[in-house]
Amino acid sequence: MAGLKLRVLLHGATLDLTLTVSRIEELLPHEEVIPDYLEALERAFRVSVYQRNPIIVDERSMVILDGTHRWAVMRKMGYKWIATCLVDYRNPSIRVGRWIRAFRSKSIVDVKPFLREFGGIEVKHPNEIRERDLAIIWCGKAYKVHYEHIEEAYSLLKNLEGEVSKLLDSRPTYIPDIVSLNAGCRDELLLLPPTLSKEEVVRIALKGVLLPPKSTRHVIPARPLGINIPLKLLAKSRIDVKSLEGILKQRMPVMVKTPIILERKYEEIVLYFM
Amino acid sequence: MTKVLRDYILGFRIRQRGRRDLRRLIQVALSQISMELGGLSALVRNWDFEDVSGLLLLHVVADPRSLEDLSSLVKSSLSNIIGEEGEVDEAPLSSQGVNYVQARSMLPSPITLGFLLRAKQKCGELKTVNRLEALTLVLAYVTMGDLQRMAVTSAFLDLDPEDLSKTLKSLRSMGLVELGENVKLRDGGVKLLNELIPSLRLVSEEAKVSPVKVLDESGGVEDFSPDKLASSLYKAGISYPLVSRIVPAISRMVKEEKILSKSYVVSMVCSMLQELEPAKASAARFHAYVYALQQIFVKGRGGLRRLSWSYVRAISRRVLGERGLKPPSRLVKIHSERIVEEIKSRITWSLYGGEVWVLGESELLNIAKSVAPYVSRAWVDLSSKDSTTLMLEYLEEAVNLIGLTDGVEDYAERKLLTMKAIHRFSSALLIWLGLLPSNEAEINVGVLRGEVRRIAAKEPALSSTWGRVKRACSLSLRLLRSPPIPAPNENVEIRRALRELSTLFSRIRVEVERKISYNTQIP
Repeated sequence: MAGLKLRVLLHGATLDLTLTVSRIEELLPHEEVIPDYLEALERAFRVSVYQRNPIIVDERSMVILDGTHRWAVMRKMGYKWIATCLVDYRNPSIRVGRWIRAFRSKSIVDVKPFLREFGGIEVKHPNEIRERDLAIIWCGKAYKVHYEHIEEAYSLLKNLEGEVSKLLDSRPTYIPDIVSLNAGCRDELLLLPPTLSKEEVVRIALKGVLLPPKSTRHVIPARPLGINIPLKLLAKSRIDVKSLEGILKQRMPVMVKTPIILERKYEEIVLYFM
Repeated sequence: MTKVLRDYILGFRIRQRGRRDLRRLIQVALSQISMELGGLSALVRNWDFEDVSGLLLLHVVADPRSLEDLSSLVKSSLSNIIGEEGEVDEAPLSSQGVNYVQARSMLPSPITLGFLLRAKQKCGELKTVNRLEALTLVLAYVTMGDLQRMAVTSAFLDLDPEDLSKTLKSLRSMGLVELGENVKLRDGGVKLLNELIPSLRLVSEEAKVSPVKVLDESGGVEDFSPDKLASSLYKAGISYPLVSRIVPAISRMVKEEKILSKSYVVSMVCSMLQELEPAKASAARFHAYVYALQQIFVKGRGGLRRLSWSYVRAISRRVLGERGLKPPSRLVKIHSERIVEEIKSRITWSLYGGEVWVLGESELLNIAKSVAPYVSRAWVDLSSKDSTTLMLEYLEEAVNLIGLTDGVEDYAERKLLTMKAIHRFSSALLIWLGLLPSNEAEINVGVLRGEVRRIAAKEPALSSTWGRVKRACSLSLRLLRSPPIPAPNENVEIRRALRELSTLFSRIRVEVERKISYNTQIP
């Protein structure tokens, strides 16, 4: 695979990153996009001359692991190529997590009748909820929703998200699953999607199925930022990857001690190209 | 107090109201604070500006204790430059809300990287190691054995990370390095590098001067130089494709000669130019450029006179001397050459053979003033501050910069810092002696050394301060002439010299300051 190959040393392990460009049409998303976010991103792309940060892609399957919105915007704007950071998804240092949906509510609402429609069963304690469960935690009580297969689980999740939003008149905020599930705070309902495996992510993407937005939370232990690939280059029908390497090699990577807040908070190793 | 230097990323948010070229303004703002940065023991390595969100990130090397002052300095400089058309704020980068986070350069400086790229071409098979092993050993040495930096730098050298990993293991099996969290050179590795690094430098064969001599009209002799010929052609406005054809052809023609007249070389070049561009006036332009001085006259109060080198030198002395400091003859020489180059570049386009150009004396003075900053930055600085203030600023900067060299982990970057520190130190001392410093550290140190000798001739029992200055000059010249990427054995010498120079700079600074304050107390 042509491009700039960087090896990042993790504690006792390594992660190889290949900075390159990929044909937009050859990449496979696995999640839907959030329309509002897409619009905001498009406005930013219209005034910028660069793609600043590469999207993260599995080098074997070409499934997008992080950056679906940027990919969707650039595709919509007619770009032929997109700057990518290719990784080997099988590397154990790359993990898949989930985004828990948290809904705030000013009043206590009885969710049992509503959950019955979805086949929700109350469990004894929130601690009984496992990673693979589709579940709701509310007022200290936990409910599991039965599903046959993972695609069904995410289809149910989408419906549940819509219904809970209506019921509580609240839009969800997405919180990483590393946050402890001391659920049951009185004013917060948590909707927990099942955590996907890497194989499932790839299989679903290859089938062309799109999961709801924020279905996966990929934890990539090292991330290149600020590579500044000129957008006019990405609009061309042909790109010489060697010339792209030439652009990248004129920038000086700096490893930043994280966490760092650059538009969002990065906890992972950041290689910032200056 | 010992300075601890670290790399940081500093963040600022710029909200602009107009649509201006902010990148250029940022560059101006940063260059305007370069001297204050030295005072804070800080260096800006690099910066990046994101025009959509207005986020400016600066990569700096600084003492952690000076970060807040540094941040305020950058913010105020940016605010002054951007003016009312924008607003500058510190951008919080950490959860604690501060606008800086620690960082680490992953690539060596451009000069060190350039050395590695050349080394990649030149590393041959040695008795004990192959090409890749030799390059990996050099890479380990210049990155101070930092495995992560080695891994990233190797990508810029087109080395596969896996190959690097295997080669390191092979170097370990040969007993040349130790592998742990970092790569540590063992005695065998150091010995090999002492042999390898000098062999990777530009060898004398490549930099060899031509044995052909060129004799000018006044009897002066100089070596024939293809570089000088190319430079004259460019400056005469001849296009690159022509220059690249003419220079090798002339070099081939003259290589069998021992001595040539200048007019012979000029005639050959002119005839080639005429053949290559028959419809253009390139030949006339080149001829006019070479003999420009003979065709320029200066009109002054004393009437019309031909522009001569002695007249240019007199003008140079007059202009450079405007700040109340005497310009040393070496500075006058380089300034005069700049003046003549500038005049030639202005007239070449208007002259055809036989014409003359008359220059007003005030015009000549203006040209001399316009090129003065290229030879003496102090000449510019002295227009806004008195010589004692500037001298003390230079001394402070010199002491801070030489102190920074100890913490810099890149040989070439350390060399640049050393050169800057020596320049500031020698400039300060020359100002103290009533002399105008040049922009070249080596010229300044040479002049300073000459002055110390002159003082020593008058007072054989040289005072302790002058004794220290003499020693500082000798160490400075040695360091200025040291290779940017030293071999390990050379590095030991350089580090020792830097430590001694740092002590000398500090002591001399204290002594000079004491003498100034003593003098100011006695009217």
